[in-house]
Amino acid sequence: MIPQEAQPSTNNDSQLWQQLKNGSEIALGKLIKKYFNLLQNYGYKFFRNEDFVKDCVQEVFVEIWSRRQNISQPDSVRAYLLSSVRKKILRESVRQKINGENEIINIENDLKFAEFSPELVIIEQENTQETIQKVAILLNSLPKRQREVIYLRFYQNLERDEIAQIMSVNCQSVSNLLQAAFKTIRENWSG
Amino acid sequence: MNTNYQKYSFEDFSRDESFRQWVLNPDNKNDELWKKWISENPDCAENINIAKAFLLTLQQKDVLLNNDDLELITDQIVEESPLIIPFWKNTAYKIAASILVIISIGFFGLKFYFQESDNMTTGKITQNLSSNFVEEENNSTEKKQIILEDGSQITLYKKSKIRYPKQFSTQIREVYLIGQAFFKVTKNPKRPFWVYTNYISTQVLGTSFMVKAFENEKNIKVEVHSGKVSVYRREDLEKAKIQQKNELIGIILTPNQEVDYSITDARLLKSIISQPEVLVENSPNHFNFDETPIKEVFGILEKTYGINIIFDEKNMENCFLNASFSDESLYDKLKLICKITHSTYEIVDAQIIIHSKGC
Repeated sequence: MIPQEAQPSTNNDSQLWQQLKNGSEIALGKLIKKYFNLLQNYGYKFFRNEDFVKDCVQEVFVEIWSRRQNISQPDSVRAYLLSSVRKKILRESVRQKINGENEIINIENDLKFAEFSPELVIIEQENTQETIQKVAILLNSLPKRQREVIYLRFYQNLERDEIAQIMSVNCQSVSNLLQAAFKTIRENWSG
Repeated sequence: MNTNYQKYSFEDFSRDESFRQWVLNPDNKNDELWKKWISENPDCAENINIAKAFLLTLQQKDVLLNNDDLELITDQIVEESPLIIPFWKNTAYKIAASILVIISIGFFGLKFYFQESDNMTTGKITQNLSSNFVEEENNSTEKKQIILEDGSQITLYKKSKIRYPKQFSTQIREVYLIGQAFFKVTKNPKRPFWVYTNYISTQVLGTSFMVKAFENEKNIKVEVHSGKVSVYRREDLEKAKIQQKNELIGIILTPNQEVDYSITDARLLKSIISQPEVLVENSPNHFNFDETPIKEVFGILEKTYGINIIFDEKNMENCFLNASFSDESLYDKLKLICKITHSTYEIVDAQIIIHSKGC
């Protein structure tokens, strides 16, 4: 038997959020434990700079905590947090670029979802290693927005409306991006 | 074990919570369970392998902070982030916004009034003002000086309008005001001078005063600088006219006093003007008090500003003042005196009341 994991955590999140709004430090702690690493993971997809990403994620929680009396109750806390981190990283990187603090950062109007690197995945089994190589090549052949949709859908396990919110597009666009991505993956998956 | 797993595609696996736990947060327990299941369902091994690779590729290197680090971050946030209350919830901003609203409503109301209500409001008052009149409007940014045929002077402030007859009648001098004006009236007890506004009317007994009565502002104000005026509510005047009464309910104002008419309360409230002036001509600019009994100090202030000061003589008989005053405002002087004598003051009905516990 596999333990029936995970009550979809949405109800729990809403309660935590409400408690946070009422000033509960415990609720803040729980949300940080639950989401901080996931949010960092998302951030690294844009910039492979651990300190920069960590600061951005922390700043998102600082702002939530400071403005707790006036922030609204999001439909999906997870999507709200991911979306906040995305915006924060975009703003911060623009600011740093303007201030010339970080020359590596090169952005235009939107974030560039980085390519996947199989070397970053550490795994002991040989056959999985091979598959990872293939998957990485395939994912990297996708346009960056499709890559991001796939990441949010499968790694962050989000619904279409949540993805739409995070990427500031409508649900239909999310479906289209997913469809296009899967078409490419199926067509190119040999073996 | 979930029987449906056999039909799962790699996408289905990668979104299955139990599967994700095994791939992303493996522990002995789930590792054992899944390995066992895979050995029992070798058909699914390929899909599982792909799903696993898929999730791991998407995850990339996960730089994880452990629970201690995360608790540290939480503590830091709680300690170092002050609660921010946005500026639009701030009281000062609220007041400013409401003033802005009142002012802008007042301004538009004024425009509206000029088009609509000329015959409505003024028509009610008197025959003299509904025909053969002069109307002056000040749309500039400067104050406008007007001299009436009896020699009275009117300073008309911006966005204000005044109406007066070309020739005053022999019994009465009447003007109608919207907005703000300062009046310096030529004394003539036989021809009283009246200023009408929408809600209140002011009869001039002496000389100079200010009337502020913008349309749609919630308050109308009359400030007296010299002489005496009496202020009435229009409805009282009209009632008295109908009932042929000679007894009028009004408020008499002397210099440095003002009356506020609140439209919402329909009430006249007497008070002291915001910047009381020294009334006594040639009064010394400097007051030097050397161990002066407080009673004398208050006596001098009363005379200088023409305002009553009420205090408990017995209570304050041990209060003496060492101070020198020059051109501070009356209120600054009062604040200083109160600080020295451990007392407080309030203004009630245009009088100053001193509360003291004694010295």
